Amino acid sequence: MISFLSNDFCSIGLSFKADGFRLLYAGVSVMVFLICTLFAAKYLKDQKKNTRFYISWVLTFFCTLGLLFAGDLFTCFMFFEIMSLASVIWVLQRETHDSDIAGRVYLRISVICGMVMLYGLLLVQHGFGTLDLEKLTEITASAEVSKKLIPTILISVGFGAKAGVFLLHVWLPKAYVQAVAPGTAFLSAILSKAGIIGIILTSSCLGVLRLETWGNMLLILGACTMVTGAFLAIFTNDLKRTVACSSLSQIGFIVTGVACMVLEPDGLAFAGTLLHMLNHTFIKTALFIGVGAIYAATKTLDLNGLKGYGRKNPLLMITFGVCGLSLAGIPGFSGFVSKNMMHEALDVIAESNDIAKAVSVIFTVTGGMTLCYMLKLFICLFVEKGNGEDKKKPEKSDQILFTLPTLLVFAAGILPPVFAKIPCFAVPEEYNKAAAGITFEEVTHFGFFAPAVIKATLISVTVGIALYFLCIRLLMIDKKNNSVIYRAGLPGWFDLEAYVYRPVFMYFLTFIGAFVARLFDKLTDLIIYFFRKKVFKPLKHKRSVTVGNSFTYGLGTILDKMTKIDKKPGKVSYVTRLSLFNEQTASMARMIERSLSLSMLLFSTGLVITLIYMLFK
Amino acid sequence: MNELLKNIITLLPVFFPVAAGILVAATKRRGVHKHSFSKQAMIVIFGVQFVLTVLSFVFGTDRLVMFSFTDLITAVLKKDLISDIFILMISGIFFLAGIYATDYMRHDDRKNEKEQNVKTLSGRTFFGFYLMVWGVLIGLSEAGNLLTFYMFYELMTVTSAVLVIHDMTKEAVFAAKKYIYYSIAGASCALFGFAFMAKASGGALEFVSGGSISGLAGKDLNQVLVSVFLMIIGFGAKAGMFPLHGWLPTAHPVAPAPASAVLSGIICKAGVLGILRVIFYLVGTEVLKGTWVQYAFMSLSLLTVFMGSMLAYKEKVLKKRLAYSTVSQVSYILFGFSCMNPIAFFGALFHIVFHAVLKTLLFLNAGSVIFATDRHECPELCGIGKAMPITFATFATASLGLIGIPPVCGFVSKWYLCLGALDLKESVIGYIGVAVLLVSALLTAGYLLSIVIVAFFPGQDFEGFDENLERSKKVRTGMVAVMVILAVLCVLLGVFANTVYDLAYDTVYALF
Repeated sequence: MISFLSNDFCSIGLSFKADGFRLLYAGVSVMVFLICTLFAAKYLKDQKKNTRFYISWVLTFFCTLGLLFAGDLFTCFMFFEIMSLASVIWVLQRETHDSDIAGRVYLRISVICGMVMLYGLLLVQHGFGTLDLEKLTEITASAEVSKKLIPTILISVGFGAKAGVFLLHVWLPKAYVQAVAPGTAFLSAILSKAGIIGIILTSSCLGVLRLETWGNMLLILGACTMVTGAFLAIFTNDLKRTVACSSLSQIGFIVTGVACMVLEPDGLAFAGTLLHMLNHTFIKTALFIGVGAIYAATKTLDLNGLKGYGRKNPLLMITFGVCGLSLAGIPGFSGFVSKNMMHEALDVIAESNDIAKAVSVIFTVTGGMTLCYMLKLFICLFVEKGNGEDKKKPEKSDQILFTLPTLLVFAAGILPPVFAKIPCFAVPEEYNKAAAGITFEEVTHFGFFAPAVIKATLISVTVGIALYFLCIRLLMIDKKNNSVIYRAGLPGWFDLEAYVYRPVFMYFLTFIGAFVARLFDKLTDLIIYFFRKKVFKPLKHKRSVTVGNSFTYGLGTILDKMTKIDKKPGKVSYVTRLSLFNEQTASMARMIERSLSLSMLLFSTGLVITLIYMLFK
Repeated sequence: MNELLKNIITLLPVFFPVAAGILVAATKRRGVHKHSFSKQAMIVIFGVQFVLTVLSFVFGTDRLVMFSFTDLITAVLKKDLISDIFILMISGIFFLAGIYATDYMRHDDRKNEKEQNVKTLSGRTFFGFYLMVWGVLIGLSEAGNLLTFYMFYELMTVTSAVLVIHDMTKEAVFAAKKYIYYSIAGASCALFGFAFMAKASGGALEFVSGGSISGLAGKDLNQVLVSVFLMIIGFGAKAGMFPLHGWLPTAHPVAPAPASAVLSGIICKAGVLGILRVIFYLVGTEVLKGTWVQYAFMSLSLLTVFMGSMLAYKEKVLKKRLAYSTVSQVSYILFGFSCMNPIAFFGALFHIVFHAVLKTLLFLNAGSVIFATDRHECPELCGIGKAMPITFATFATASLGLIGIPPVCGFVSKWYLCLGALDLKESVIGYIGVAVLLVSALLTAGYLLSIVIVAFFPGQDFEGFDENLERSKKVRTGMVAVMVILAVLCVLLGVFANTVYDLAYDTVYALF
């Protein structure tokens, strides 16, 4: 639509464009940014070193916008990298031991995946000669598969890391928990979506739509992500970690949606994915601000310290209630709309794809898991009675801030036809082109009360409640004299990053690399050293021998020592005596040698004379 | 313009600093501080030399025979794209680092007054030789044939060794010796090739775009290849390429910061220039493409890229870390040459300039830290960002550049280098090459960003520095100003790299 070009920037050129999808998400970003900024102003008021936070805050926001409006992959990459690096500061901001670890992990993953993404970009530029999204969409349609699939995977690694796709998700629970609250909200609400948007745009403009391999890969990754996230969210007693892992799980749902968009590009898959992204954006804004407000008031995130905290706090209860039910996909809430659209799209694919069939089942079960962990939070915070009741309540202003997005979520839930219309106006241009035009027939006439939908919802809810009683009530809770204690959940070694990635990449590989490198580094020096020792032998460093030679000196010293053992003080040191003896012998030998040689000389002179005489006779 | 005037303008930037340098080093000041220098006078000399270089860039003659021994053996200065880029880069960096040094070298004078037993060379000697190196380097980059090049090359080794030895500690003397041995070994290696080449060509070994040695077709190519390889190894000694890189991590850290900055940023590039002249201006890529020399050169440079950054990652002493980083980064440039295609050549050309700016800035940052706090090791930098915010903000900028995060300048050069590598006919080598470059970039992030993080996020237990070292003039204003200018340059050069690309396009494509 609007395209702005400047070829000179970094000799590649920046270009921007806008379409409905980008404008929509930019608008959402601005909204979330404003809410989070208002929250941050209050939250960070009493803290030190805020300048660096605000610098990175504004920088990240503008880079997010730049990323959204990017018209080519280089622009995307640049803003994405700056955004990643700037947002690391939010995680490091608190300067505790844990936040330091989390920040470093986040930084490492960002940099590594950034480099992988750069490789992908290079392959695209090399293979197709352009990075412009629109041109690529046209060129790649007829390109050979390997030439477009490998760059897609590489670039998606970069974007996927930010979203938290399985295997690259290790930073996410740590960083979300350790980041300052407004930062976590923005990370979860917008930055993770930026990753997803990146994957969508890359997949559409590199012509991998309808490519079975890529779609299945995304399906599997999505399923793994959602299960991992939900699993981690259930087995923890930390409020913020539950919400953070829930983010991970929902990203899994969204990635599954993207997989559907790739496998079967039509309106339904796209609508479901986009609506779930929107849903998740606002839900997580509300929840993370809510969690932040609780933390600001009580300085604790442990569920055991927060039991019954929200009993007299209706706004908090509404927020957690609406968001939880919406995430779980209960009818009447917005999550119901988006999740069922994705599920329907998945079922369409499942008719001819076995992986999709399995993922469809996982989808339902994970929906139940979502309900389970949200129930855990809700019951702990609002139903149980306990020590949290008399803790300080969140500030009034904070309450308004987390209620605002909740209202949007609620409104979307009670007006599904309006909500479901949004995607019709917000298709990314590239996707539309690559999919050869998508229609929204099924979306506008989506049967929310079709038997299949009701059945899936019922299964999901049943699973959720069953899981709640099984996992939370049985495994996670200790009952001691009428009070409930939440257990710490997963053991400490259950950490893919700390016990697999870090040892392999940080210690093992660098050890081998450093070993090889040092070998080559010292090679020349060693050769020179060797030659200096063997060929250019410098004078040997001698022990100072005062009298005699080294043999007599050594022998004399030994004999001296032996006489000392005898405790008879020797008259003269053996060293001197031996050296004297040696000298005498030597002079004698010299005399003999000389006289011998003299006689030899005389003899040979005589011989020569005799010979000459004989010759000339 | 008058021919004579043009000639004088060309010669001045070579001979003015040498003369000024001898004058500065040989004279003494009146009064108590005999060996100290006048800051104002130094800045004026640097400024004059900078202006002279720019004048020579604008008005200089294209070819100037300085003197001739015989018809074949002549000393020639020539002006072309490469020499223009080099003289501007050299003068810019020397000018800025020189201004920084006028503040920094007070450090040594102070130390000399305090500690009687450590006797470093005087500031006057330092600046004298600094100026001489500057002049010699200008001559080196304008050298029009191999003989002139060789002459200036050896002069540079000798003069710059004084910068290394400056501290006169045991390590400094050892390092300077090592530097001289390696350099001379390299130069004689190159001289060996020189002799072969002179025989093969039978000419004056003049630098001509695209290769001056013609008619190689019928002759024994192997002899030429061996001699080219020897020259690459020989000049590679200065550029810190494996196998003769050993002096670099020893010599750079012991020199005073401004000297290490120009050693790493500029003097290493003399070796690069030598290889460039040999490959593209003497032999020509036509002869070398696809031969074992190309592959050997490529693998050596890639090995050095990885080795340098891996060792930098493992290194604790800040300046040594930066020196290893130089080993790695300069080999990026050599890898670009070894690809022997225009795109990679552009990458290498960009990286010459960008690395000069970035590495100078990093060394000056390290110098500021040493100047203000006398801290040398990376773990000691914990929390220093608060005390020296500008120093470490510029450090962070330069780090991003060296890693290759757009829009800071390192990205552009790496982009072209990688694209050039992918353009290779043997695509597998290209893919491996790009992977090595990216892994090295990753390690670069590892060894530079970790410092930034430690400096700015020391953790809760950190007690803190009492004062802002920059505001309390512990780090002087001149030093801070130089660092800020360099940091701005880092970004601007990256953003406006295309201008150079357009200007240089025809010349570079004519090389192939």
